[in-house]
Amino acid sequence: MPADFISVGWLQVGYAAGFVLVALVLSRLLRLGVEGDIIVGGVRAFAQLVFLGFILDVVFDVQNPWVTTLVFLAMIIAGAANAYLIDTPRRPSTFWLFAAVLTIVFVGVTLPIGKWILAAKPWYQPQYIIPFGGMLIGNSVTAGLLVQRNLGKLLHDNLAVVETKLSLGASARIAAQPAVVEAVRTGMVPTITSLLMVGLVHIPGIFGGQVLAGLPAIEAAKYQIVVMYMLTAGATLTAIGVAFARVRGFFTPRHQIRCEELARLR
Amino acid sequence: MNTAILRAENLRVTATHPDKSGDTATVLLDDISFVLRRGEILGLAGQSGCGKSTLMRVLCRLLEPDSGRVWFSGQDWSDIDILEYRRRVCLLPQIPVALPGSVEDNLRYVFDLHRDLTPPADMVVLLDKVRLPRDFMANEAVSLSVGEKQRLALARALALRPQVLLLDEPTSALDPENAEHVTDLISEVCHIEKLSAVLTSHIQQHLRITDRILQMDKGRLESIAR
Repeated sequence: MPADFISVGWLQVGYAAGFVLVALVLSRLLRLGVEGDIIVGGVRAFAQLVFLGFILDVVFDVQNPWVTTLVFLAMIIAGAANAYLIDTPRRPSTFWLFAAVLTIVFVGVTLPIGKWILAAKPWYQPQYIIPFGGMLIGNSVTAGLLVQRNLGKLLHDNLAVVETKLSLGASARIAAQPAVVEAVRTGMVPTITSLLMVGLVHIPGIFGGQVLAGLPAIEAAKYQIVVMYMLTAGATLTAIGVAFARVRGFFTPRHQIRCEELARLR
Repeated sequence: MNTAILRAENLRVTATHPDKSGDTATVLLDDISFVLRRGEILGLAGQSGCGKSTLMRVLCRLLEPDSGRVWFSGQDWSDIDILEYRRRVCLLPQIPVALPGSVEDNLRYVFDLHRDLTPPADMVVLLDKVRLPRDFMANEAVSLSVGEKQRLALARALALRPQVLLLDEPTSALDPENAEHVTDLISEVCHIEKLSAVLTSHIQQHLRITDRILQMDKGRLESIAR
């Protein structure tokens, strides 16, 4: 820990909870009706982060590739489970789809970053690779869910055009292509917006964290650039993967629209 | 004229709707059998909601029947590549759909889709066939009137060089004068292009160009009206 690092005590964390109280009071006064969500969110954030802190301290001490792999499996499962829980209506296939896509994205993006870009020794050094993987999975779940939600809606809204193309002899893939492209774009909007805004409007977490930890700002900036590029690749892969996997479910093998599937997602 | 180009056999379609007591099945088409002869315009009459549009979607194979099958030119439809089948048996839906882009883009779409089709040297001949003004070519297709979109949809279908046209209430969204013009146009186009067609309408007058009329009621073919 750098000498000039200011450690935050549990008492100070308690004081910070006062800001949540302010949000609660405002929500009550303005009848926003989000008091329950703020309390549950605040407690969950506290519990999840403290739990993560304890676990990661152990993982960082152990420095074992299998333990790091286990942490990643847990993160992928948590990401897929969250996607399943957030998605409406809930479909068991969402869990498996996201588990598969997140695994591919993790192996395809985070591992090369650890091995060749950060060139950590050993390459699986958990204090580098776990934060990167965590950010990647969180961002990818958001992108994938946006695609999943929008694809069904886009196909439903453009049903007449899609069916007209099918009736002219277009395959399901060709008929659905504009909806797929639009859904992928929608899924990538938050990531692309972050790319455009980073450093100008908001200071992202890893940059702020490293500066707070006493590292030179230019070092923090380099890390943040790597993170942003990684998130872009992750969001793109996830958005495309989810879109291509999901669009098949809206059509029969005979290039017919499954109207009941679209109606269910409306 | 006497050989069948399309023969439907015992087509049945049901739809299930979830309700409080579980899933309820509604019969949309019940044991539909008929023959469309080569060069014939067959009328399908019946009130709205009797199953005409469902039958048209089944015949174009956009909707799979629960049972029954269709023979096209003596060949079981399951032996024909489905995308090829839809080129031969082309549906014009009740509400005509303009694809994004210009009128020309709409016509070119067909040739982009099917590279083996040779586009005409000048695309305006397709507009001539449906009596749309030649200077419409660059117009945005979505800004056309319903009647003009109906003609564009017909031109787009003709570009496919189909053998059967499935015309689902093509005049229902038009005013009486336009409906008369489109009805006459369909008759003329079918005769010039030597097409067979199934034409549905809930208005008897719009079926005047047909050679025979089948009556539909509650998903069943009730009687031969003419």
